Amino acid sequence: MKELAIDNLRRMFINPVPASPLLERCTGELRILPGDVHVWTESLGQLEAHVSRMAPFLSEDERLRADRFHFKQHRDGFITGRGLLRVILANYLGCNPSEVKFEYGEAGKPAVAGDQKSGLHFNLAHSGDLVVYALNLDRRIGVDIELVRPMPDAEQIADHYFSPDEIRDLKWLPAQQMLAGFFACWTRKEAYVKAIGTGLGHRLSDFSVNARPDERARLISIQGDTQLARLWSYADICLGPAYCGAIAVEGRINNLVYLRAKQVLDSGAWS
Amino acid sequence: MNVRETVLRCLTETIAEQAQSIPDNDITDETELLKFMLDSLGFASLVTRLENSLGCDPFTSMDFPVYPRTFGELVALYERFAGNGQN
Repeated sequence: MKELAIDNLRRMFINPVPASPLLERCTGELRILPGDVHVWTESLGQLEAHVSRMAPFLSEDERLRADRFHFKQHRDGFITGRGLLRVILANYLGCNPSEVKFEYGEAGKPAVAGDQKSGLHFNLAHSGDLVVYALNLDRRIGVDIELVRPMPDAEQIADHYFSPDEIRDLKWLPAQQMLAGFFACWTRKEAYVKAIGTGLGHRLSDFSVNARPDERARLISIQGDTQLARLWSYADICLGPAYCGAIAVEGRINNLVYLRAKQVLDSGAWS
Repeated sequence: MNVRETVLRCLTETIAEQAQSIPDNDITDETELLKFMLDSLGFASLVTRLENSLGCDPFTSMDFPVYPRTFGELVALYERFAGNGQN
């Protein structure tokens, strides 16, 4: 079953494909169980060669959005990032990537359209050259990643957006961990507001996460309520020292599975 | 420096710092913010910078925050919350 799914992806990316339609129908062989979280990561640079294949997957509104980017590299990044999202979702849903339909929340969070009745929830994030997709079943999910970079205004951003408990935790950190703590705290908070679909429209200081980068991510309180916070689970995303990331899921995470499109392309196997 | 000039300065500084790119044409009222590729942290940096310069954060002042799509909308938002347009 897994091999069939891999074959689907390999066909899409590697085999020369004549004119449109680019793909045969995906079979929906990728399986995800309740409690599973699948995390797909890929370098946008690795996908550059696939822009022309990905572009036809996009809907008209997505193409218009791509055209609004100023730089070609950003435009291509949007096309491949959104195209890969469609390819991944199509393999769970059992349809052609161009047939995946999205609906959007009030703050713009994309979701699989209700009429596709899949129960599949997803969220995506990108920073630097990396794009991440997190998927699960029937639960709200949010993901954030950030390229770790110098942040001269980190302290001011923390004062503006973090809760008093988070600011206190950060100030207790040794100087050499401050930047890592800032990014850990930011991505953990952002993952939660992306899961509930509000983004930065939510007052970020209304809830607290743990800010220590060497601790497992967790939600500590929501408007002071620790019981409410326990309804959520977190996972740190391990992507090496250059990136910091977190996933927030409503409910328990039983099984976290990392998947890479490139591994599929290169070897036809994933780990 | 009026609100428009302050917003432009803060935006340009944030883009240079966060997005490592500068648009090669002039920023006009119609310029879409999407073009600058600021992620959420970049946007947070811009809002923090603007609060330090203009003394307000419209997004936490609104019951239902509406995010500007263009540079002109961003300026209008800060002009509305920062008062008469003078810093």
